[in-house]
Amino acid sequence: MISPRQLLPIPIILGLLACEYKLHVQKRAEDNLPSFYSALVNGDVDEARSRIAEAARLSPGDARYAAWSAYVDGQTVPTEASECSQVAQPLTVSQREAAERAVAGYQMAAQLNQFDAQFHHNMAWLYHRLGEDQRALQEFETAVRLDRPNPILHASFGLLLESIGEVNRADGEYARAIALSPQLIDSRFFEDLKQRSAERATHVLKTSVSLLGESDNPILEAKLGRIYAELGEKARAALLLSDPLRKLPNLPLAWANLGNLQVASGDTDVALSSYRKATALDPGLVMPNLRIAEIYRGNGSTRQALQSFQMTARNADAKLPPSVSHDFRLYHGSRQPIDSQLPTVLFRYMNSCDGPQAYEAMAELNPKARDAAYYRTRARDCEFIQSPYRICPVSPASRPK
Amino acid sequence: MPRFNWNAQRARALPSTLPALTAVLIVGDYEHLPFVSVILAALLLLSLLLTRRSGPAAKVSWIDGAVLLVAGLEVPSLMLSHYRPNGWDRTLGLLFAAAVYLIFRQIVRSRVQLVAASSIVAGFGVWLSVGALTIFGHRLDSLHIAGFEGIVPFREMLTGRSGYVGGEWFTLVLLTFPFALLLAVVAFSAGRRWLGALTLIPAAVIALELTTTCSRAVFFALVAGLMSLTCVSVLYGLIPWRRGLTLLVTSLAVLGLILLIGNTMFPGVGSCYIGHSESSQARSAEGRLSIWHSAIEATRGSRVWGVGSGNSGFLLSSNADESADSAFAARTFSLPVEILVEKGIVGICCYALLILAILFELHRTLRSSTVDHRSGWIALVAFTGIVMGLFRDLTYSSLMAHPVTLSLFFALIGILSAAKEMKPAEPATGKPRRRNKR
Repeated sequence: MISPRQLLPIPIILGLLACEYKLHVQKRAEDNLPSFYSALVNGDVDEARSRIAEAARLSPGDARYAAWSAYVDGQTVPTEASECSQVAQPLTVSQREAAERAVAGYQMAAQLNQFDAQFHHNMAWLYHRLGEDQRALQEFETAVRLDRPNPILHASFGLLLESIGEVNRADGEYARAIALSPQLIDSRFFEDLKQRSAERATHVLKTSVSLLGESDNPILEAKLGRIYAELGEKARAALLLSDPLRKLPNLPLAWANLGNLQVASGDTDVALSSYRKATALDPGLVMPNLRIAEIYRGNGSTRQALQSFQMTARNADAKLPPSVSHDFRLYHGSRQPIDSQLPTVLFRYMNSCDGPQAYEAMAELNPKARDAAYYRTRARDCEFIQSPYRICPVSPASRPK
Repeated sequence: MPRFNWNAQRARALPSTLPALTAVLIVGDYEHLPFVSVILAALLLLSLLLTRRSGPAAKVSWIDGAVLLVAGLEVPSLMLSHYRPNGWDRTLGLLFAAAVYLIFRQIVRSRVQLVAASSIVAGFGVWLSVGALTIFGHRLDSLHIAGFEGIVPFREMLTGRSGYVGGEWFTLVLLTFPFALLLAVVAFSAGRRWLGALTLIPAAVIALELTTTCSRAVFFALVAGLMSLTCVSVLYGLIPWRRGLTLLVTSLAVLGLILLIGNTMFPGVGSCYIGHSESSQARSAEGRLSIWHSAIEATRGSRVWGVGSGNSGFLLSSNADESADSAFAARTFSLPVEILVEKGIVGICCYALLILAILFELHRTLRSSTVDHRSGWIALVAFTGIVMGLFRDLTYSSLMAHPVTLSLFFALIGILSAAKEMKPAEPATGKPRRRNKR
């Protein structure tokens, strides 16, 4: 006769086997992603579609696969022209259908996982492209509500608002983005904003300052320091950067930004020490490694400069978009950190050009190196980084019907 | 001379090795081994066949029922999950841990089995600790070269190893500590004082690593564990109160000495625990309070069943405020809050029942007249480990985040549960067995 205690393991054994099987299937689905990504990069849309369809078949409840499938459809929808002089090209019938399919795909993904802001973000831009700006705004508001501390979302929202003519609201979102991440000041995005209107760029920075407010919070002080440095108030910036470092010396970006101020005031040796502290705290940082390399180059230490430029380029290439690391931490089945092209285009636009600068320097310092041609190609990366979306205000009359 | 009976020896060897094999599976960090859960299921099936079929030993205990309840909770939790794909690996981790519990509960009956399993875990703990101390030293050197002083503000980057988030790492090492203590208890209770002293070395090495984590929660979990060990032993008459007081003072003094050694090796470690909180520590505490508040607020719509296993990160991320100071938080930083968020009030009740069952089982074991004095100590040390793990996770949510930590925790519960069915030790000189003192 079987005792009650002998029965205890049976449900556990069955559960273990069921879970193991389910995870095995999840892994098989996930194994399709590297091929999917390669196919995307090579422009093989059919192969990409079949790979993601296979993943979705194996794991139909996974919202990421539904979103990737929508992304493939969205790829055939061209972005608007980035030059203000050009009129937005209307979508062809097939492009319109692809955009609508993509929207449907993202809607399904959002139903599977109501917490992911990225789906609503991508849907917003598709709605905008379809001419449905009200729905685009609603989706963006949902995206921002789901991921308020994400600076790239706010900046992207600002781009949409600006493209439909709501410049004041756009500047408000840009200010929020910079308050969350002042490093956006070094990006192509902010560079373009300054080119469009230096006054607006200054106004955005001042709005960021008021959003951060007066505080003795060391993190906020450090952020204010970076913004004041951009506003030209160097003395105030130096104070706001050095004070929090006394309380929290483990802030790598604050050390790097302090180093920039020290370089500007001619204290190269002190700046080098600040940059070294930044890289000791976070070896993956790009900007301080670049600055160290530039100091070595200025001092004539070519070999050390080359090493630091190589480190800069390596770190820049290895840097993952925040959305990728975000997904990797939240989606437990995710085993492959996929660098999705849509966020990457946006991510590169919100990033600095430190990596290409490093490649340019490497090509200059060692023109006879075996990889010199490769370095020169990579040095031009920034030229091709444009806003992924039209950011010139368009009057309703000029919009194509 | 009696003939050597191979069949009998093989039959005895199998149950002896099961706990040790299970320990190997746990410390092998099963995520990197394919189909480890299938192997564990096979071991569990084997333990099912080796379990006694009748008599008092065949009864289902309160802890057995509570573990089954907690495992069974995963079914409705998965079905009602806000995002089911996130829950499968967590469910597997919990079932794995439940299987570990059952194996230890069903099979561990002798000191040999306990020593075999505990040695593997304690050895793993020593290996982790030595590696971590080496890494700590290297990273500290690189900070000093860069011109930094002190340790407290940099503690997060000094500790831990790749593959583990820092806090999970601390919990993992902490949970190997009671297994090292078990070795000492078995040795001392067998009257082997020199061996017992030797077996304290692994515990000391692990404690040294734990003091260099600069985590106040971990350090005070050690203190809480040692205090519970002595207080409960006095309460249940295992030792007289004077000896209990001596034991408490001695153990805290030894912990203090270990901290002193740690501070000598790495100056500044002591300031993590003594004196005023530094800015980074104050911010860490404030950040936790803020996360707990927003996590509890965010579960308003899912209070009964929670949002499902593995989804607390999504919930936190989608309810984070726009404060420019807020960093991305993917965990709740408190086990009770995590259970509330992911399993709801139903989950809180189920896990509370498990804790009550553990307390009840400990009480029954220490009160029982049939339980050997030494088995009582084994149950008590296992309970100490459970206290340490729970205390640490009051301010971190790491037990359920990694299957290894959960399995070690449930192994301790299994040992506690098995203690009262352990065979009394044979007296070394033929003297009669001592009964429990009351």
